[in-house]
Amino acid sequence: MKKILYILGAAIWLSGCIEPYEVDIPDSSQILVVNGMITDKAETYAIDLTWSSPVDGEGFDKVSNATVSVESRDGETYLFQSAGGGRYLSDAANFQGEAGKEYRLLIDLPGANYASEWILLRESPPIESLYAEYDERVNSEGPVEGMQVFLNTGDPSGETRYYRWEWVETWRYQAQFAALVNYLGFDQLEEKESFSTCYHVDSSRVIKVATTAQNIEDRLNGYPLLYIDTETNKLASRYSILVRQYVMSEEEFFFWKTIQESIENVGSLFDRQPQSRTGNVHNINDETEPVLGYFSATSVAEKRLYIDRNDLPERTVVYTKFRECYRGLDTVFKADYIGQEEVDEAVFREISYGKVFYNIFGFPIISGYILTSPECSDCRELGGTSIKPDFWED
Amino acid sequence: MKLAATRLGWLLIAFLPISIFAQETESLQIDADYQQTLFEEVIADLEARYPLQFFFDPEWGDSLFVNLEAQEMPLENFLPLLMQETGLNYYPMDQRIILTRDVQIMEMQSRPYASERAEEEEDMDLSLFEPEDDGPAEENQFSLETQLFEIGDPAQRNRPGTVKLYGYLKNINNGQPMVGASVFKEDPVVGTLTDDFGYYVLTLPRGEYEIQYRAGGHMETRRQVALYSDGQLDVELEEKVVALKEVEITSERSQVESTQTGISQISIATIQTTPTLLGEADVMKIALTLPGVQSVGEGASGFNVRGGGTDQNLITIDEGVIYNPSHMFGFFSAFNPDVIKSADLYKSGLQAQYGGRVSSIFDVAIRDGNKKEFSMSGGFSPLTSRLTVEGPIQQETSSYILGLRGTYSDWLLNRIDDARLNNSSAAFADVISRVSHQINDKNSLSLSVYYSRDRFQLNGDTTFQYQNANATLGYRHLFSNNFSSLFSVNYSHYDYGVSSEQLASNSFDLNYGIDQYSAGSDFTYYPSSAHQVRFGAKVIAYDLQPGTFLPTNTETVRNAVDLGTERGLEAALYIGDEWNISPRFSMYGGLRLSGFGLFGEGQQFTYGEGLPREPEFIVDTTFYGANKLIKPYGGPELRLSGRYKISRELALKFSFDRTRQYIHMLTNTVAISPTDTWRLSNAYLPPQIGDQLAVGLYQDIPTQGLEISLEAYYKRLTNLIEYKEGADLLVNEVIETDVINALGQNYGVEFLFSKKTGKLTGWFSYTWSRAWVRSNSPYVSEQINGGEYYPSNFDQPHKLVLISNYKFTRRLNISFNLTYNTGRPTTLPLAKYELNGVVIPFFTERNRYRIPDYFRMDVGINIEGDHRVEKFLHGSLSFSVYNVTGRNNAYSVFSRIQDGDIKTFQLSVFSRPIPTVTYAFEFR
Repeated sequence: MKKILYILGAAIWLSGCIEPYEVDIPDSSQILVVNGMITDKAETYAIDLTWSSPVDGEGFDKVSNATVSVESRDGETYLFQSAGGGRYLSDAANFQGEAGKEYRLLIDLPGANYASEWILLRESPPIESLYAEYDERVNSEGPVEGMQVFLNTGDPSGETRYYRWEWVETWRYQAQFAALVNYLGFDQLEEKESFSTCYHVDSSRVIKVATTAQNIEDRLNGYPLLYIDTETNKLASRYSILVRQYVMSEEEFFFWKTIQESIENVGSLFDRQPQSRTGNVHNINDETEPVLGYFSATSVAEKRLYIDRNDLPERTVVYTKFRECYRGLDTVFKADYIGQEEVDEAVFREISYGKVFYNIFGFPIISGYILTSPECSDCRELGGTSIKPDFWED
Repeated sequence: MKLAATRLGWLLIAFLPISIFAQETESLQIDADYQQTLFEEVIADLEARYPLQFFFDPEWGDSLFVNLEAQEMPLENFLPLLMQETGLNYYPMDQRIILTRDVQIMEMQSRPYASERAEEEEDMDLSLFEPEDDGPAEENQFSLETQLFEIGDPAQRNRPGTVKLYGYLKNINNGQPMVGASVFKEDPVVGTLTDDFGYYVLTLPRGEYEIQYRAGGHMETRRQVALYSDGQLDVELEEKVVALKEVEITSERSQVESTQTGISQISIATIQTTPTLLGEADVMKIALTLPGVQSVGEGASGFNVRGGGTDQNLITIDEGVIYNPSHMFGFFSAFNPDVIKSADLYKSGLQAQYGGRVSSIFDVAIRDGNKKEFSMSGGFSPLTSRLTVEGPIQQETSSYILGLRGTYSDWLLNRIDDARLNNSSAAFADVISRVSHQINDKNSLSLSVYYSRDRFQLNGDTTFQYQNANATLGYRHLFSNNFSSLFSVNYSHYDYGVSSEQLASNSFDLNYGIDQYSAGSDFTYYPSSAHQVRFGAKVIAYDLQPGTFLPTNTETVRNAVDLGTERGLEAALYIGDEWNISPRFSMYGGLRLSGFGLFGEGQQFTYGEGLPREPEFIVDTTFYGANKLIKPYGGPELRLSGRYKISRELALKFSFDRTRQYIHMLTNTVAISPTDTWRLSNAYLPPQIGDQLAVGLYQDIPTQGLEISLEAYYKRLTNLIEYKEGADLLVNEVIETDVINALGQNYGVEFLFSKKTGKLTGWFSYTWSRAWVRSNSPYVSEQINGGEYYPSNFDQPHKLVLISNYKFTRRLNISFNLTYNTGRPTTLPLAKYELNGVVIPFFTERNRYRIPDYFRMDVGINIEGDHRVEKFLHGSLSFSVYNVTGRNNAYSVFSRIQDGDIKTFQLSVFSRPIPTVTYAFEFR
């Protein structure tokens, strides 16, 4: 319902606007933030401890002097090792969570001891299917095209009910004009390695929860997980998403839901009262001290999906910036052909924008170069790496 | 020579002996040559050159131009020509010439020289003396004012004791009753006010009196009466101006006379001359300019009175309850201004007949249709158009009025440069109608019907609609001349629905509805001139459908949810007496006994003792069968007020009142949102109780048309409803687990200065007020800000409003408005933290910060097309600019994540000036 209201709000802005507002908020004392999860997979678990930061603060202070351990209800304790930067890691060989068992997190800081509530490691049903469909939408700038990723899952026993997802996206893309030569200035050229294909990896930075508590059956059919539009280069060649599904208690669900709402859907005419929820970690000696974040224990179900450029209609233009590569092209003949001065002059125009690469044309006899921008000539410039991930299936 | 006001002219007529058309003037020969000369200058010229004196109101002449040539023309021939140019009437007395408008002075028929004069008239071109129409409007007010009316049986003239004079006050043109008009005699003053039907009862000792009748926007009149025994005298009042709407501001009832504190009356004339947004005259927007009335932001639905919530206002139209008083989320109010008679807002000092909401009563009255002739009016603005037709069904006794209004905002939405909006539609319409029938002097009937509907479809997906509908049948009966009654039955309905079909798995239909049936009887008894007793009873049956959620597609995965129905019965018995103890001192005392019961079918959860109300602490569920009483509430509500007149024009008043509210709107948003649900009191939602103490000083300066008031109040509220963090109130089966019981205290001082007559009219108001709320629970999870008092969402300490209208000429007036108020409180993040790479704001204290202050300036120009009385089509054009300075007034301030960090933004609804042109017409 929030979403509806949000759009309603948008509909009546008419001539309204949103602009930055300066407000002076006094610094508050730092609040401990706990973020961590153990699963039933044989993997290294991470617990991150940070401090909250003033609203206008830069970054977050890390808590590196804590002793972190996870205790199971049957009395076993596993110590986590500090890996620096506020991160504490388990040893995958020593500790693996088991479904059906209860765990809690213990944090000892100089002067304060914290413990989470006991939390049951629940069994997650599998992600039955993950699929994507081409979808046209309209956002505030106009129509957009893209792929909507859907998910099917469910628990016939009806005991799961609360779901949370995280995902890792990986996509392959090409530089439009992978350069073979690097121009150093004044007809000085340098051969360079060509980076034409790259892979970009990105973890989800959203909080995504859903519940079937109001449904007859504990199942989600065609649950819309995320929408990938063609404004980025994600769908330019081949795309892959690995979805991790977690399950949790009702209490944890509302924790994540509250956070999800506090960061989405603000700025409408019908905004709800803003809210904060503290998590399941408390100061053992002082119940009133707020502790943010949540310690989760869940089993994990994973599923990977690939989307190819061909899954979109041929007419669809993916990532218009690639097109701009064609627009900025400039042809420069070798000095042999047109004289040094003219080359320098042409190059000079572009050089003021930064690094410039040449792309050879007139092969096999090189008569000149095509001048283009770094983004169009080296795929790494757009944030990816040329190393193909291990899992990648072409 | 000029006289400042018409009233002085009248006095002259009353006291000067009326003489015949004198012979001396006959010899006066006038030479004149006026080309486009201002009327005032013409008069000045004539007065300078001839031994003549003209008496007139300079206001009439300031837009009149005269083109007239005369050579040695006798005065009696010249004057009619001059009058023809100006549309005024004249009456010569020796060399004094009295000019009148709309009214003409004629000598009384009883005078012996009447026939002689009639002959003279025939000689002249005296078309101006011809009646303007054939209706009883022709009855000459002047002669009525001097004629002696003998009331009752002259045989009883010498009996001791008092008698009652009663009757109806009506508008002479359309027969509409004059509500709240004062009827009084002077020296010493004994007076009363007419009721909603224009009925009055005045108790006086036998004798001869001059009774004055006074109503806003109308010529005052008087009657010479000789009271022998009880008797009836109906009086018709003329409108002050026939073709031009007057500017009339709040509290038409003399504020010094009544015992009521905290009342404001908005007349339609006020509404029509105040520049408003998007060209739509709006009674609720005007209400917002009054002291003590606030809104959370531009375009927010509803209003807040003295720091109360929007649901604490009972908004009615002819007794029908309007649950959602706005169209298009507050940009338009639910009331078509063309069919409204008036709107009364009671902020304090409620009399016993009113109740049901703890902040205010906003009572809108539909006007009666024209009882004498058919007329049609309407208007066009960029977003809406409206049409009103009215006329008699049976001459003089019954009439109808029908007002229609609709929008073409779809057209506008398609023009906005936002694809999501192009794909959306928004429409509203409303219909207001009233039929009234005067069966005879003792019985009358009326039927009022209201219907409004809003529908939105956004981005081609979710459809949202709501509607208000109600009908009221009223029957008025006079048992005797001092005992009247009003019986009414009403049905009010509100519902909304949301449906979505975008995703097969999430196709649904969500519905909410209220049906309300009420019956009431109200009796007014005047035992003597000192007392006015009003008593009665009212019963309201509620039938709520708190929510159904229905999947509309076989693939929809969500469960159907049906919260069933909630039934409740609210009843009230009341009695109150207004007692004029002495001319200076009067008191009102009233008692209202109200009660409420929630009835089955239903269930009630029991929560573990000593535990907060959370779903996991439910220990028992009790089921109640149909019509079984689940939970009763009730109690007495005391209403007291008093007035002490320090002088004739200065009064001190106080009031105390308690009210109970059994129906609550649950809302998690600051403004009324289209999906707010109303719920009845139950075991966990006890009735809200408001106690208010108010004192005030009220000064009238009638000679300058000024009214000044200063009022202070203190309010204590119990059982307010606040919400837990993240409360979801829609289709919620355990609503009590999401609400927090709270206490409130509001106080403030309101100052109002208004000028009602003259070229410059308007008002200035300043309010200083605070509104605090405190959660009332022993459990930490149900405490907000540590259980301490914090500013409520409606706490806006300073508010300043200036509304002004300046009449340059009869055809041109301009308006200028200023509004300033402190920004409302808001909650902003105190810190931020990070989880899974997501930056999250951390909020602590609720309402610790404020949004920026609000400031707005509006200007408007109204141009009347023509104001010749005989013309059957009157047009007017108005231009207005809302928010002239283009200030980006914040609607809200909020924080959201942008580029991985928390940024604070302000949202403005109108960030630039909004110009509008409106054309309105009236057709007779």
